[in-house]
Amino acid sequence: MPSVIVENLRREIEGLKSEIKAEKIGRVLEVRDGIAKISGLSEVASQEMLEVEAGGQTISGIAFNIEEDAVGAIILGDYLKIREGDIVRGTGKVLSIRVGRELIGRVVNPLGIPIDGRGPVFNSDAEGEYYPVERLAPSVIERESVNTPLHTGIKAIDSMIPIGRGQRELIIGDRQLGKTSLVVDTIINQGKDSRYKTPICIYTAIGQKESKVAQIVQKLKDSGAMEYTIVVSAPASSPASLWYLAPYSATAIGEYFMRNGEDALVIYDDLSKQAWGYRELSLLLRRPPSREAYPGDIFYLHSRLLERSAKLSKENGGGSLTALPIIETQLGDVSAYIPTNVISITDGQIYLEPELFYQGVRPAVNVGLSVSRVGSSAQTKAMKKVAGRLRLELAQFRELASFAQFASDLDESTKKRITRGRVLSEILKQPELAPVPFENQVISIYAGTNGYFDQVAPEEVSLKMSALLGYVEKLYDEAILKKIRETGELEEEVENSLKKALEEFKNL
Amino acid sequence: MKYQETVYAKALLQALRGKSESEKKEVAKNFLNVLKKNSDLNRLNSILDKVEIQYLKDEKIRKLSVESASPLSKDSREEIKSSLGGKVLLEERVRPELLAGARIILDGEILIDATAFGRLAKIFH
Repeated sequence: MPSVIVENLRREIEGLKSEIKAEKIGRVLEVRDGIAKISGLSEVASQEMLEVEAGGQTISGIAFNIEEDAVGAIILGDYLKIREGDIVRGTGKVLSIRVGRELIGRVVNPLGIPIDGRGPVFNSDAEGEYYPVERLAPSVIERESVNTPLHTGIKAIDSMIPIGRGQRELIIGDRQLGKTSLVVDTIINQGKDSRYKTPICIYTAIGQKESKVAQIVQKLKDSGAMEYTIVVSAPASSPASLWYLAPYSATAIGEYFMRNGEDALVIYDDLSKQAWGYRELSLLLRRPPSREAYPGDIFYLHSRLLERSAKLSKENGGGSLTALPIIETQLGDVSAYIPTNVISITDGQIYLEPELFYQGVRPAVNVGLSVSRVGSSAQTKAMKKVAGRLRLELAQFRELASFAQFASDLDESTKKRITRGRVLSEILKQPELAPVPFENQVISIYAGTNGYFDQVAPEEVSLKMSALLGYVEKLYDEAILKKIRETGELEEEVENSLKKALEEFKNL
Repeated sequence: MKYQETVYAKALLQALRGKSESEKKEVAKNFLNVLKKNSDLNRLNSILDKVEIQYLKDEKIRKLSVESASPLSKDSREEIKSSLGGKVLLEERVRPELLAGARIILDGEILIDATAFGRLAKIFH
């Protein structure tokens, strides 16, 4: 062991002032299933951090229930090591997590402890700041309207359900419909979107299988996304207290970047599990259960979390924190308790439907029911131009969808609408792990809505579209793609070049 | 749970006041029967803890639990007892894992830690 370390330690031990003071303590009366009942601690405050002296170690907890004779606390760690009679100290602080740029590329648990086996996150005491896990949301005056797009790279979303930086957009659907794939593609696209500054992405895995989290981290590594992503994981084997805290810790990390003038994106996968974790803790602490056995403050659990995502005004640094919470429904029931709660909190939702999924429409986004309450103020001018017609034509197609089976018996205009609708639906399909940059999206949608693909059979649309994009990339990169990327607009000159390119491609 | 533990404790102590030895035994037996009737017999231990706390409070006795690395000497014991003034109930426990020094828990609520174990834990926490 290097002598420097021994020397420093010796100095520290010598210099330690003999401060022996009296402190108020409590003793553990009962401990079970991740919670503890503590007697004493007469001056503890609600949500105060506690330290339990269990054998040789110190295990943290949070004071949740302040009762007349006892304190009910949740244990943030292995409760099996705690014994009846163990001494508990109050710390006078609330739970905080150490945040800083050093977290980027790491996988941590909700207490900030790294779980990716790469050693400590912070190497000296000077690095990092402590941000409280629970914090008041920014006030009305500190905010500004959402005005910058957050491109997900998914055509259906960026065109018709656009998300802006600072917005909360809920992703809701049954299991196995591609909710996680959607958010992973969004994270990957942030590295590819060259028009806007890359936001720091924080992926929160709540109650998921560790194998699944490992797969996601690998996918992000393979596409280079871990260079701007942090993963906060409370896996299925961790205690319910960590499931409950994970979204709050992730938000505290996001707030660090937001308050420093940067953009951040936080994804909660998924909030349904956080609600279960909180229900488990509340029931164990004997709090009165209400509907579906959830505690009475289950709405507040999610509302105070999601309100912390905002776009700050220029005076406050101009940073933003965008939230993409995920809720898993059972059998498509979006009118259940938790889904309706979260729908009323967020600024819009993206519905994923099983019927669409099995028909082959992937991403299985139901464009009719999905909404983004921020809308076109979060879209580039180019996209706004092409997306308006897209939405209209798809809506008309949906109305006529039931007649599509009798295609031969219909009049010309109806047939045309159905063909156009089919082509547009095909254009909107895209595979996993392949987010599309927004300039390519503009070209695809322009081609579709202006009839250049009306003669193409639905099965061939996807192949022809990649060929078109390849063609434009090779011959018109400067004239079209670069111009759209830099200005964000579809100027007349660029539009003319695009028309020319499309004609040429058609005649090939 | 029919009554809270502190309520039982207060009632029991009041019932025992001014009774003779044999009467106290009767009262104790009745107390257990009342608990059985109220289905609160399983909480007997926590109720007795509260009885002790209430009794010490009533009689103005301070309770000191001393945990030390090695047994207390007679002088130390006297010093601790007289430092507080008034009546003191002293409980001692030897725990070699504390390495050196002693720690005192006053009335089950206040801890004064002067052990080597505590100091080392502070450095390495």
